[in-house]
Amino acid sequence: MFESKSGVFLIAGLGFFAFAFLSNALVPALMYRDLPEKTTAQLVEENSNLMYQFENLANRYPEQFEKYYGEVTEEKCAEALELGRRTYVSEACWHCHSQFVRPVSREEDRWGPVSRTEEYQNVLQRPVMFGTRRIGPDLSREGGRRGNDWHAVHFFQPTMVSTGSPMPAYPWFFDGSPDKPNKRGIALITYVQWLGSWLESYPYYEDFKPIPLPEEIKESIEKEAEESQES
Amino acid sequence: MWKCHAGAGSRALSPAHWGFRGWVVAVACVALAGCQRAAEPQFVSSDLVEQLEPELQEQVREQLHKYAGTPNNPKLIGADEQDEQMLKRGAAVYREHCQQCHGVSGDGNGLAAQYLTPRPRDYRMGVFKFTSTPYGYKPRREDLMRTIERGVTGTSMPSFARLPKKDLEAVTDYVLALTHRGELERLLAATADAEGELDEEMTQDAIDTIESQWQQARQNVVEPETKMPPITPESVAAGAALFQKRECFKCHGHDGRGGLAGGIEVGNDVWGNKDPAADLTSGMLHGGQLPLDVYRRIASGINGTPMPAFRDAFPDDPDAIWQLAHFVLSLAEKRRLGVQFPPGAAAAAPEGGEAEAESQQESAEAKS
Amino acid sequence: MIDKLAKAEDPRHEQLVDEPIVVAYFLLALGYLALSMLAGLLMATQLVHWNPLNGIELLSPGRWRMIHTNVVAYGFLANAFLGALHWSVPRLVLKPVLDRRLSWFILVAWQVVLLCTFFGIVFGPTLQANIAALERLPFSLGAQGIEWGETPTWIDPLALAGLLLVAVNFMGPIVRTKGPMYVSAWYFIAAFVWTFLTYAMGNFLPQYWLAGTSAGAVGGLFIHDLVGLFVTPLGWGLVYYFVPILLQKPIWSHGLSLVGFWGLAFFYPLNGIHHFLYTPIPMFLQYGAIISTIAVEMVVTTVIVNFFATIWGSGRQLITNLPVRWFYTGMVFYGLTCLQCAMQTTLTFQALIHFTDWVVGHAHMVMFGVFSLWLLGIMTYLFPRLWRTEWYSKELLEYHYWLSSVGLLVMAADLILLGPFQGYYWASLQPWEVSVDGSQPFWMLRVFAGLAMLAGQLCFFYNIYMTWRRSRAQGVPVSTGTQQAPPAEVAPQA
Repeated sequence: MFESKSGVFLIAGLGFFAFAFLSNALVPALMYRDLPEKTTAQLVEENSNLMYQFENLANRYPEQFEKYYGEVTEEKCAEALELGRRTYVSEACWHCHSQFVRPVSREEDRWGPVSRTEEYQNVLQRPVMFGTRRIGPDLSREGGRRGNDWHAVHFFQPTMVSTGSPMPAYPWFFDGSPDKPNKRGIALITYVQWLGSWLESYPYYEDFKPIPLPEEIKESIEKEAEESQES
Repeated sequence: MWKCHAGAGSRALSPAHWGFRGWVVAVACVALAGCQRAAEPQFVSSDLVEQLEPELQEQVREQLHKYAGTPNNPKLIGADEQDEQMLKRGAAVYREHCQQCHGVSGDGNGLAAQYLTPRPRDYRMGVFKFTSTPYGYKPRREDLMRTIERGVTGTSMPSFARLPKKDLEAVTDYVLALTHRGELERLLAATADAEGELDEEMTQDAIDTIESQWQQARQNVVEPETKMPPITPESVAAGAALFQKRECFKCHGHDGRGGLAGGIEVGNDVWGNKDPAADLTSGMLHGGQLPLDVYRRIASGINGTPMPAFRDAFPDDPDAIWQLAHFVLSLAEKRRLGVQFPPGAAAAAPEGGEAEAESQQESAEAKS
Repeated sequence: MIDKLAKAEDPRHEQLVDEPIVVAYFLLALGYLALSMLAGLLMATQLVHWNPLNGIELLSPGRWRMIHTNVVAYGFLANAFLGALHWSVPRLVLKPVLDRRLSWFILVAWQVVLLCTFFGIVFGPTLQANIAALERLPFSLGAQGIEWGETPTWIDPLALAGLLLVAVNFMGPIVRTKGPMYVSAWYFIAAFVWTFLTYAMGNFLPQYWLAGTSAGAVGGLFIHDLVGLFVTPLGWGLVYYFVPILLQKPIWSHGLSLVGFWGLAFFYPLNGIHHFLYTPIPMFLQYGAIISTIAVEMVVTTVIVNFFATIWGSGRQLITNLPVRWFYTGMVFYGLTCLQCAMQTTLTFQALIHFTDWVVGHAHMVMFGVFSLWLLGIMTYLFPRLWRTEWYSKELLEYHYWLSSVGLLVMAADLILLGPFQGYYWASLQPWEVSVDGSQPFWMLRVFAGLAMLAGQLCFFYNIYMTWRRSRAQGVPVSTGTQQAPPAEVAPQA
């Protein structure tokens, strides 16, 4: 058996692989099967912070926005978010920036709340963007930490706002100057501003303290939120 | 080095050597040029100085150099004893983290500045937005440090809370040094323009003026008159009513969406930039989102901008500003809890009052 | 087994090995190696602000960073493995591959896959942004968001078909052999199955069926299986094949090789999740991955012991026999990386070095320091035999060896040392820039180490070119694996 073709082929080749696959891939998939995977439309609909940033881009760069996206609508925002993610992947942003706050090394102090499973259960995390290396900072709580125009300048030429940054320049996200982001530029900024915008601690700053609203008021706001999302 | 190589080149034995030596020289030149230290940074004079007669310009620069030093050897005007090491350290931190936007002279004119809205602060007027002092007063040192440490949420000013405490202290000192330099420059330029001359005494007067203004600020911290009442639906509703009654919507819009999203123009700030009122729904209150922060924004207004002080607007109702603050806080929390706001100016003015800038407050410029 | 191979009626080399395809695969592999190194150089210079090409879309260091890893895995390693397999499998089982035309078809198809990968990653995003028709496509023309699997989604099916054909082509002769097989053949059989399954799992599941954390688990499996179930079994199989031939003596222990194979087969696939410790992946799975990783270290030790025991007593060969030295060096690095594995997979260590350059150093040591060194050793051994002439220059071969191995040693040591620095910078909660500025000297040293490795390969390329010219001048016959009459003097070597 140990030296025969069928033994090697069936037991080692297929059998052990299947065993590993079942235990290491299928088990987590089954464990999380009840967590719904959100679509981009859902993500936009329930995330008002994101819409604020998207609208802010439209107000800051009216001509460029008009040219590439037209109106500020949830559909357009979803489109920008998807293109932004596609760009994030195809430009290999995720090779130098992680999206995953670990419960060690006091990362909570630096980045904000430790990452939870639910945060990744959406179509924009397919494949998941945990990341592999941190040349630059983790981005999973980057949304809202800086203004859209900071990101625009930074993408155009990182050293313009961050001395000594080894990040490459991405002038092809712009029509010639940092105040003219093109379709990909607006999309990528939208995507970066989305990261972490679902958290209650958004925008996360080192000394973030929640607004001390009593439950009563929060509940009424949440009711209002549901109504506003339905309309 | 250069001379030596040039000599070697000129003594070339044959054309073939010329080519090789030429390369050596060229490479050496490039290498040496690359290793050369960057030119020492210099402060830039403001337009006010540029408009003076040439010899007056020279005098102003001389005085500035004497009292404020250079970027590499800065001096803090008005300090009893110069902590040179601290200021140099501050200058180094500033070069690394601040100069890109705020510029070498603190004129808010760094490389990236032209692409940023709101524009990076120009310190030279000595006007700062987020202070704990009354409207029109200078900030306290703590206010500047707080802004550096926390950043200005929702703008391009990031938080520098991760800097070592000592660096924060140092860079705050350096920002103060740049500010005082700018203030002195303004006063000297005005004096020189008016008097047609400049002497040591005038400079001393100017320095005294600056010192007394900052001293005054330190003694005039705005503290709430009453302890904050608990946040309740009633206090929020009362705040909402006051928001209407005091016509906050004229700048902030009926839905609180502010000038940029609401399309409401309220004129320029003292730095000459368009200054739309803040979007209170953004969930990113620029001056901080603690109740006391919001209280101070309402009570003392925002320096340099059309946002007036409401400290004396409610003589009969000591809780009124707190109620407004509660309303603003609940508004600021809405997006985080998922409330969607319709985009654009669409939602502005349900009662028909086409929002327009009203100069109900004195011109910000005059007051500063 | 060796007795069996020596029988007179056995088929000869000329009836077994298609030499031109071995040469073709090797030359292609080296071309991709050069491309990959240039891509790495681009990223390395970017990090130290020396990149003169910053800001050019088609030379974006980000895109070329993906070229760097993908080309080295699927361009260099895969092609070099295929070349070595075309030599060793027929000679091992004494049967030619299933179909010679299929072999050449696979060769062309695989290069098409690689060119598409290259084209997709470098040009895809640009084309899609500028051509309206492409913009409307529901999928990205550019890279896929899976580490080591950035091959764009639209090429994945083609690549998978290619892997299937490879398996069929080599399994043909293997299944027709009778009786128990030599250890190399076990590894090869398993590798064909595993590579196919791994590629399918890693590229399709997280893209189309799973999101979030569970996709992360699959991604971890994929990264690790790619090393553990594609590169490692092929590498070990080739070591078990070539080392006894080079040393002219059998491996030390058949029993150990059994333990090695079955241990690898069982424990290696269970390792994947150790890439994502401290993530929201369930903790018991993380523990399981850690335990099986440590188990793999035991398994690996058996292979290393087997190798060193085989070489015991032939120490002189390390000086005189360059291919043996390549294998030996690779094996030393292998011992080091595996020692590293056992350390870095623990939660304690992960807390410090995850996301740092430690991992990058480790990856270079595995991919270049172990498997590439072995493959370069195989090439050093085979080129003269394929062209039936001596190497043009022994000195250049020495340069190739020393520049490659010392360059790699410096690079790996440099990056591995940098890892804890970065980890401590981060944990100290200083501003982020502190870690970037602190890395600069290490990153600069890395550029020069990389240049040394590249220079080594250039020596090798030149040597190959000159050797080829000499061989052509001599006009030696070429075996295509289809000749009928064996020449009298050449006997099978193994």
